[in-house]
Amino acid sequence: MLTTAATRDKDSESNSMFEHLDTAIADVFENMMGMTCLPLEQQLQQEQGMTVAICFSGLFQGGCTLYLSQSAALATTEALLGESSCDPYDPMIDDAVGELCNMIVGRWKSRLGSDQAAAKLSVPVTSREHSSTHNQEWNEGLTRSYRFQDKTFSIFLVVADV
Amino acid sequence: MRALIIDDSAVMRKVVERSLRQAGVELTEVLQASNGAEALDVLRSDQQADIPLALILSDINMPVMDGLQFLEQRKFEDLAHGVPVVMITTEASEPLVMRAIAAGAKGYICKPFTTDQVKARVVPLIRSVVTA
Repeated sequence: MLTTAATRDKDSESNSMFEHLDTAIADVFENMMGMTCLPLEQQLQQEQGMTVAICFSGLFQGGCTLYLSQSAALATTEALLGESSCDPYDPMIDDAVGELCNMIVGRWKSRLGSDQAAAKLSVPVTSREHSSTHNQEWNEGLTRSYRFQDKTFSIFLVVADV
Repeated sequence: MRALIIDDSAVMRKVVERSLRQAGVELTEVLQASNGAEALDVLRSDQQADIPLALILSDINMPVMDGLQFLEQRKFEDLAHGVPVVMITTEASEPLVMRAIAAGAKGYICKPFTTDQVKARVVPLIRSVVTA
């Protein structure tokens, strides 16, 4: 019984985190880019592209990794800047996806509660290879995929026991 | 109108400038800095400018010198006296907002933001400077 209750609590916590993440992502895309972005039922395996990682520390610790394809990264950069960028290696793309991840995590943690909102965010670390930079001691994380226009991306979110 | 935008992200500096223009703010010159220390240098060298700055927008979480340290040092050196500073950041916890206000910030905008939010929080501050 205890195990069932604990599992139920964990599921409820995960669902709540997903709901807040969905809302945070919808807010960022709508407010900053005028686009609709919705969660997908299935978790997608992202094609080779870019990775952005941000850690949060304080009373609430963990991290978030955003995985997106080159075309999704380019589309978000163009939408943020309101202009087209033809060069897929333009450093502005790295900058833009870093800010995208920063805004998503910031919005998400502010929705969770005052302790979480007070957590400090690290500077986003962007890589053009898919790799995880998360602390191995952290609990199992949550992964969710999203779609905007005809592009998709995935987010891996992990919260540590403090 | 002249403004200073402080953010370690070049993309965000462009986004903020575009939002100001979309909000109807007539910018004649936009100075930029990628952290608080650079911004202080800009303010020090801008003290003799013919047209003074009318607005400063600053991120909080930046390398080298963050937005709060910038506010405190600007106050200490009495740079750009009377020019309103608006913080634009993802860091929106109440203690941080209170610290920013105590250090001299006149407004706060949370990322993600809309042009309407920029208009509502920035335009009245500019008007109050112009009419002062």
